[in-house]
Amino acid sequence: MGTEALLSVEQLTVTVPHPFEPGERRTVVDRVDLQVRTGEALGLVGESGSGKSMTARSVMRLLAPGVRAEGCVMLGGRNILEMDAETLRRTRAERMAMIYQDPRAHINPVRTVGDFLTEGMRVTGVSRSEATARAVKLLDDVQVSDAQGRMNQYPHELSGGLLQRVVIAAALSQDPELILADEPTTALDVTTQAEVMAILDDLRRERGLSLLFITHDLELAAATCDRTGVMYAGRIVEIQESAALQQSPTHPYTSGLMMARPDIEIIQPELTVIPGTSVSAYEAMEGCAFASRCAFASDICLSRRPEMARVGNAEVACHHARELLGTLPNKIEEIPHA
Amino acid sequence: MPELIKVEHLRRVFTGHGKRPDIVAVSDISFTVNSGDALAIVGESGSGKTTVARMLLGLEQPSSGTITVKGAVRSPRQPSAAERRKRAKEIQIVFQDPYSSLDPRQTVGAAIEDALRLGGTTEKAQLKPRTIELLESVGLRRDRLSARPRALSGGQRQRVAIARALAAEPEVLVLDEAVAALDVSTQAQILNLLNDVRRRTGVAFIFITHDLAVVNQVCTTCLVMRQGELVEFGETREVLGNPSSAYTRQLRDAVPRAGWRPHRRAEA
Repeated sequence: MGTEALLSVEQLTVTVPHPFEPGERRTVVDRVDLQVRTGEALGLVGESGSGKSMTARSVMRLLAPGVRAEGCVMLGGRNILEMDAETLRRTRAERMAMIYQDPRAHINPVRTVGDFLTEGMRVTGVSRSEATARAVKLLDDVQVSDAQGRMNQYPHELSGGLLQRVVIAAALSQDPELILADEPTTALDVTTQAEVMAILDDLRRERGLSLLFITHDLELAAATCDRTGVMYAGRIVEIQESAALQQSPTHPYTSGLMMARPDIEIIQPELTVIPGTSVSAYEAMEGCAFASRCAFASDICLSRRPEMARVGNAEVACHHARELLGTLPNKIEEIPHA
Repeated sequence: MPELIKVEHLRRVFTGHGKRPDIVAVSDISFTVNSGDALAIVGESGSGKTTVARMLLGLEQPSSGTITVKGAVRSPRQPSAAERRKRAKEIQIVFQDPYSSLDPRQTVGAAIEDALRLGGTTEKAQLKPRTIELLESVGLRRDRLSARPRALSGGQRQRVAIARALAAEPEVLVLDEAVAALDVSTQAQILNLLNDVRRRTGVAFIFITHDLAVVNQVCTTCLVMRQGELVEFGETREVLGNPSSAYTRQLRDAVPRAGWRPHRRAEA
């Protein structure tokens, strides 16, 4: 893994037009900083409304009309947010690829798998036979059996897991440096999820690709990414090496998320819940966005927004991180069966 | 414990049209639910778990096999309106998506009152206090009575759906992926609520889910299905702790956790 950041997001803020009050804007991503090094996988975890998908979309500058992204998204030294249309188009085509949650929504149902895979190559001037050969090779790489036969099949003939592998093959077809995966396995069954993640993991390592992996599943992110960041209300609250994060969460929200998940081995009399509901960036109060749900909140949390700082192994945005270091629970204590 | 539901050799075939072959959605499933049980029906997509739930509710008729509820065998015919009302006191359901299972134009109070009236509470004087009682029993404040679903969060809507289902005082509550669409922090609140409701009212659960961690937290017994067939049925602790079938083990090993690495299954 290189030490150079391939992708560097600096002070990214995304606002959308207010749905009811013309002229007003709502913040959905609030001053996000993150880096993805060459060959590194970074997981970004959050609940709905945390801004994780918007962050990924801003990296590709795939934003709906009216949505405004400010700050810097540097890919290999160039700011994506300031590129002209032609440079942006080429950067998107050649340097990065996105994989979405629902493969069926992102593949043309009336074109064959072969058409889908070769389209991009044909546009860049690759001959039909060469493109077909490469597509078959790609299908082999993502472990689709009978690659030749699949080329003539239509999306409806393939299961969700197979189709997501076809989408991964398409994402790899232009030899990108960065893959953005937005909940790529959320619609899949667990055994299929394990399979698709294993394939993505292998290919990424073999090819030295960088990955930004968006998910709501902290355990999945931590198990498959080198580092994991946690988002809340449009902000990153904590980011550290995945193994360290699982061992010692440093932000109360991270710890809360870990504790709220039921466990497959241990039964708890009562799950530890985070009180209240999660908020979006525009609903957050002054100070720390998590303060209203946090057991450790004090006056300063309500009045001043915590900045990201290094505490222990983590980058964390919490006024009390230093005193809480090493004390936040990461998993349920085993309770003997009654 | 008294036997509430007995399912024997349940089978459901969807007839193919034209060149399409018949689809056996459920094939030879048998199990029992005793009062106070929490049964998980676990499986991946296409396993037939939802079809089983729909047959229990009478939304789908079995091709063969029997469903016995409190000693009475369910007729294989489409139920009449009166029969359906009677069944409402036996089994209620909470669906996955709280955004679509509530009427957007109906207030929370009206939704629960409707269920109460259909359940036989006809005296006006009783309706309001009972509605408030139900609402508070699922952890919602009484000032939510006049709220419409749009004003509620996903977790709050699912609480309303649970309150509405409990209004009929059913003996069995079917939860069809009822926490799957919720965020982790909200999901924990609803799981605690469900455990609490079961302890308090003694209602039995049939929990349709793909999430084994949820099964472990909420369910006493567990039935694993694959492609319409029963793979394993037993105490949750046994099924998850010491699965007798390779498929259950595969499902269990695919759940991400600390130290987990994604792996491919052997060619199925």
